[in-house]
Amino acid sequence: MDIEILKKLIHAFGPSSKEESVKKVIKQSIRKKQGMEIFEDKFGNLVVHVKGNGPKLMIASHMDQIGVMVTDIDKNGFLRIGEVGGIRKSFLVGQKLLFENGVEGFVYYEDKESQWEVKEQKIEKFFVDIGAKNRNDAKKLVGIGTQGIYKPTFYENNGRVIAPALDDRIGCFIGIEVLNSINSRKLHFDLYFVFTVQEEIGVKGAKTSSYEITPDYGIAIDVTDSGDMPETTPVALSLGKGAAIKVIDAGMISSREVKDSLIKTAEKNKIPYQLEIITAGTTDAYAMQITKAGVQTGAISIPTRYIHTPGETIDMDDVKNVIKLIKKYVEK
Amino acid sequence: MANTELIAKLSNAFGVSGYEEEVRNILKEEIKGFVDRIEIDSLGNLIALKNMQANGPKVMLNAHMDEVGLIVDHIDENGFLGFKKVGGIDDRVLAGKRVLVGKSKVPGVIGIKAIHLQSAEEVKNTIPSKNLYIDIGAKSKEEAEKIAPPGTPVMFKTEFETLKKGIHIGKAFDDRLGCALIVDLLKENYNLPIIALFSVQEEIGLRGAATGAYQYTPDISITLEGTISADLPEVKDHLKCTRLGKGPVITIKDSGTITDHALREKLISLAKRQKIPYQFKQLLAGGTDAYRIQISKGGAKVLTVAVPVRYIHSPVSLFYEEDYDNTLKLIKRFIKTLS
Repeated sequence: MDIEILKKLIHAFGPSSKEESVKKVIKQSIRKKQGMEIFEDKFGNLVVHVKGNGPKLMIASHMDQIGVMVTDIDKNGFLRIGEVGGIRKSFLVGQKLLFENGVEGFVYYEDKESQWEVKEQKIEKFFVDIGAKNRNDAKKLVGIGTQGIYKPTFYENNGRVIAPALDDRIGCFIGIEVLNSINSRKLHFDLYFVFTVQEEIGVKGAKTSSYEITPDYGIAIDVTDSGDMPETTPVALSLGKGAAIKVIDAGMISSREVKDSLIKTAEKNKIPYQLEIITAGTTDAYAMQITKAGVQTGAISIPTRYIHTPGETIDMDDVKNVIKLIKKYVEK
Repeated sequence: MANTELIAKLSNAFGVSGYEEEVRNILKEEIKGFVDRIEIDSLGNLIALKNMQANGPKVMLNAHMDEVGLIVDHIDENGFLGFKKVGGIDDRVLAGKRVLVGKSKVPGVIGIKAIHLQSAEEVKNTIPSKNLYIDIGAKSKEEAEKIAPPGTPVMFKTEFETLKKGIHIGKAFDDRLGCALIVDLLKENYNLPIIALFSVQEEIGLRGAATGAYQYTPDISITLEGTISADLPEVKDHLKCTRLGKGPVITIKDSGTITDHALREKLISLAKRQKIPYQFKQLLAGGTDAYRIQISKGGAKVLTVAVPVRYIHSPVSLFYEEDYDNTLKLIKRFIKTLS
C-alpha cells in the first residue's frame, strides 16, 4: 500500500459537486494498463473500465466529502453557512474550515444567551470568521456559494489513521490499490470501477453511472460505523478485525448472492472479515441495487470511528484486508 | 411585459396536487400554435415539444402546475368536513380562511370558535389541522356527503389582485409564475430542441417530474419557480433567503440539488453582461423538480431560477412584476446562448 497516495487524497479538496481535485489525484495515481479505459461520464463520475470476460461488475467509491456552503456575508465580514451533506453540528463549533480557494476560517456560534456554550444545534446560529475586516474584504476571498471542508489533517500511528474525509477517500484509495495490482487477464468480471460524485447529498453519481453502465453486479466500498469506543452506540464492528461485509443498512439489504460469495472468498483465502449489520446510513450500493430492473448488489466497508467528524479513524489492517478481498473476488 | 392577465387566470385556477386539470387546460390553450406537439402523460403532466429535430442540446423548461391545498378525509354527523393537508402548509395559516371545495368550487370556511369562548391558554396555541374543520353550510352528514365526499380536494379561495402598479397578491404563485414564464418563453423561436414540462404533484414529492424527465430526458434543464422570500421586518438579513425587487433568484444549492456549476456561471455572466439584476437563494432549504431531472437516467445539467415570492404555501402570496420580467428576460436570452 502506498500511504502517500492516501495522504494526497485526504488533502484534496472535494465537497459534493466539487470533486475535481480528488479526481485529479486518482487519475495521477492509477497506472494505466492494457485493457484499461479511463473516462469521465457526463455527470462527472470517473469510470475505470477494465475489460474482462464475465458479467459486468460495478464497484463504487465516492470522491466527495461533506462540507459547508457560504450563504451570507455580513457587513463585518462574518460568513453564514449551510450544510453540504450530513454535517454533525455538535462537532462544528471550534473547527477550522478550508474554503475552495485556500481561505481558512474558524467556526463560532451566537452565544449571547448561553455564554460560550452552544445552545441550539441549528446551522443558522453558526458563523465563520475568515479574518476579514468587513464585507468587501471578505468578498475578495469568498462569495455566496463558495464551498468549504474541515481543514485536512493526516495523522498515522502504528497503522491507525486519523483524518477528516476518510469517508470515502479510503474507498478511493482502495480502488486505486486494487486497480494497480489486479491482473486483468485473471478477471472473471467485466469490471467498472466508478469513483462517484455527490454521494453525500443523495447518492447521485451512483444513480446516473449505474444507469449508464447497467451492471449485473454491484459493490460499494465505503466506511461504516465502529462500536469499539467507550460507552458508544452499540455496533458489532471493531477496528482491526477485518473487512466488513455488509448484510444490511438503512437503505439496503445486500444481495445474498454477492454477500455469500464475498464471505466464501474471505474464508477460502483466510481474509479476516466481520459482518456489518447497521440501521443508520447507506451507501452508493443503495442506488445501484434499484437501478433499472435491479442489480445484485452488496458492499464492503471499512469500520470507522467518528464518521462525519474531522477525526475519522481507521485501521490500515482493515484496509489491507478489503483490498485483498476485492482482488480475490474479481480474479479467478 | 408580464402577462398579468394570464398570471391572474393561472393563480385563480384550481390545481391542488393530483387535481391539476383546470391549470392544464389553461396552459394547453395558451401554448397552442407555439409548439409542435402537445402530450399529456399517464400521471397528467403536460408536455410540449418544440423543434425536436433541431441540433443542439435538448433543453427542458419545467414548472409545476400543482399547488398546496387540503383534501376532505371525513365528514362528521353534523356535516362538517374534516381534512388532511396536501403539501406543506403551516397550521397557523388555516383557521378562519375561506376555501373552495371540489372542482365545482363550493365555497366554505375553515371554522374556529369565536375569541369570546376561547380560554387564555387556547388563544396562545396553534390549533392543529386535525382539529379544524371546513364548514360548507351543510346541515347534515348526508347533505355534506353529496357535495364533498371524502377525497374531495380543497383550495384556498383567493382572487388575484393588484395592490399597486407592479405588485400583485394571489395564491399559488408557487408555481403558477413558473408556468406563466414558460408560456411566455414558448412564444419565442429558438434553434434548439425545447421540451416544456408542466408537471403534476410536485408539492407532495416531485412525482410528475420523475416520469416527465424519464420520458424526455434533457441535456439541460431549467426549473422555473416562485420561491421563498422571508424579506420581512422581523427576519435577520442572513435568514431572508431572497429579496423582492432584487431580480431572478438563482439557486446554487437547495435541500435536494446542487445546480450545475459551469452552466450557472454562464447564466451569471450573461446577467452581468446584459445588466439584468440577479440574486442567489441564501438558504439551502426547499427542493424543486430539478432534483428528479438531474438524476433521471444518466443525468442532466440542471438550473433552478425563480421569482422571489413572499408568503408562499399560504392563502395569499405577493410578488413584484419587475422580478418576473427580469427572470423572463434573463432566461429568454440564456436559452439563445445554448444553441
